[in-house]
Amino acid sequence: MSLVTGAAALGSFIVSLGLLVVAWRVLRGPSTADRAIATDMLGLLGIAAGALTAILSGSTAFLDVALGVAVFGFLGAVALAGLMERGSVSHEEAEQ
Amino acid sequence: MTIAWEILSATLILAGSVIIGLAAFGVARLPDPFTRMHAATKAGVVGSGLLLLGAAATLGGMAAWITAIAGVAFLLATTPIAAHVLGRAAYIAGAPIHPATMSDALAGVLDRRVFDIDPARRPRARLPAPPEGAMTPVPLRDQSRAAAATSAETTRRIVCWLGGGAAQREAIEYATQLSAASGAKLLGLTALDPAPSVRPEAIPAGGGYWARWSADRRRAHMREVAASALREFESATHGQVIDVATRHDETGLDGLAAMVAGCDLVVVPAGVGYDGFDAAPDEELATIIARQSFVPILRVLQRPSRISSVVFVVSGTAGCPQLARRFLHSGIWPDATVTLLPVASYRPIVQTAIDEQVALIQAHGRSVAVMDPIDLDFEPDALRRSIRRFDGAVMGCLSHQFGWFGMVRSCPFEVTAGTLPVTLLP
Repeated sequence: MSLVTGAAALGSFIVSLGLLVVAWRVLRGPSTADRAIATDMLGLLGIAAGALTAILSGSTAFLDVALGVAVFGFLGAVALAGLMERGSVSHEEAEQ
Repeated sequence: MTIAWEILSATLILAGSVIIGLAAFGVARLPDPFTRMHAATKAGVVGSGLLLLGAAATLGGMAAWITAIAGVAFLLATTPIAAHVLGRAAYIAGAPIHPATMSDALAGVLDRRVFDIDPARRPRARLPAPPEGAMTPVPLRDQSRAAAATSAETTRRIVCWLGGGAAQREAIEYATQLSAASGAKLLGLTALDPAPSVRPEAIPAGGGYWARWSADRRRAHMREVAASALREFESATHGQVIDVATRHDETGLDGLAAMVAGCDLVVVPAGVGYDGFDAAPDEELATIIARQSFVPILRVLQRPSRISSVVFVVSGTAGCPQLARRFLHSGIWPDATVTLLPVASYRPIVQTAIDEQVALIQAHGRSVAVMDPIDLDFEPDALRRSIRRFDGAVMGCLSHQFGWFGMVRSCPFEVTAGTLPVTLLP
């Protein structure tokens, strides 16, 4: 196609790059909070990837996938926050 | 699809991609977790929302629009919550704050753990665990220190337990006398159980209510007993040239170690229990404190004028082989003659304990004798007559009666403790 496809392709490239750097942040840390926040960001990038896939494939179903990723990203963020507040995962274990 | 609509869609898609890409780079590049979180949530939700709207604009149709708008609404509703919860958790977990931060509004509001976020930090090397059942060697003490540990020490602090009872007056007077003779500090101690936590109850009836009522009565009685014993203590020590202090403690018996910390002798009135009522020898105050074996206990039934001879009751129970060592170590009654009373000396354990203690006491230059042994089925009156000439007793426990034989036999410890004016549980 034309303009929209090109924009979506460019957007996919940018989002993939973002996924890479955020994944690097998840691995790098250095604190548990950094990892949790970067995981939350991965969820948002997953929504973006879902929307872009919907555009490129022309199928509405991928928008539902994006919605599901949003729901589970939120739940995951809340669960990770509770875990961090309780501090039951020690930092050493998280770093190893 | 008109060209304007297509341009709008493409713009939405590109703007969303660029914004979410910037958010991702912000997460990777910003200096501390809080700034990273700010990038992730604000820019992330705008980028994802724009992309969802762009997708709906491209695809068209009711289903796409509804899904996209629902997604954007959900993102707008939940991402602030997620950001708040994550930020709060990061703050509590002690995530580092960048030095350039101007102010910390949460300082003192939320607890903050000290948390190791040094990026240069390496995992701590762990020592290998010792194998199962391994024993750690105890370092050998040199002989001079070992000898010093068993030699007599002077008494520096005496605790007089103000527990009430008939013998309280005598106990206070004897503690005062001991303190005046040795120059030790005297501490009058009253102790109560900690106050129970009060839980409101809908109906003032039932077992819990009456249990609490009786516990309240018991505490009130303990308070009265402690107060009257304290008055006695103050009147008895008034005008004496000794260092006197009083203390009230409500930590209960769990805090016993802290209560008697640093003192060398606890003087306890005889025949009274922890709750201030009269008690049998196996549950009276001296037994309860001696069971924890922090300090020597002196149970006073009557105030003796002077202690010139003491009797050790040595049977096969626990603590009997250590009586002489602990007695010498406690350093009280340094000029009393020692007599050992063997109980059931046909048992090898008793005979060994007698021989060892005779040798130890003689090595310290004290005169020692061994009485005729008594059997386990002795006559209490005969024992009373034969030990009446002593001034004090040294025993491992106040009572050793349990089981069926305990009911039909009389206990030599109880008979001795009931006959002699003072009993030392070293």
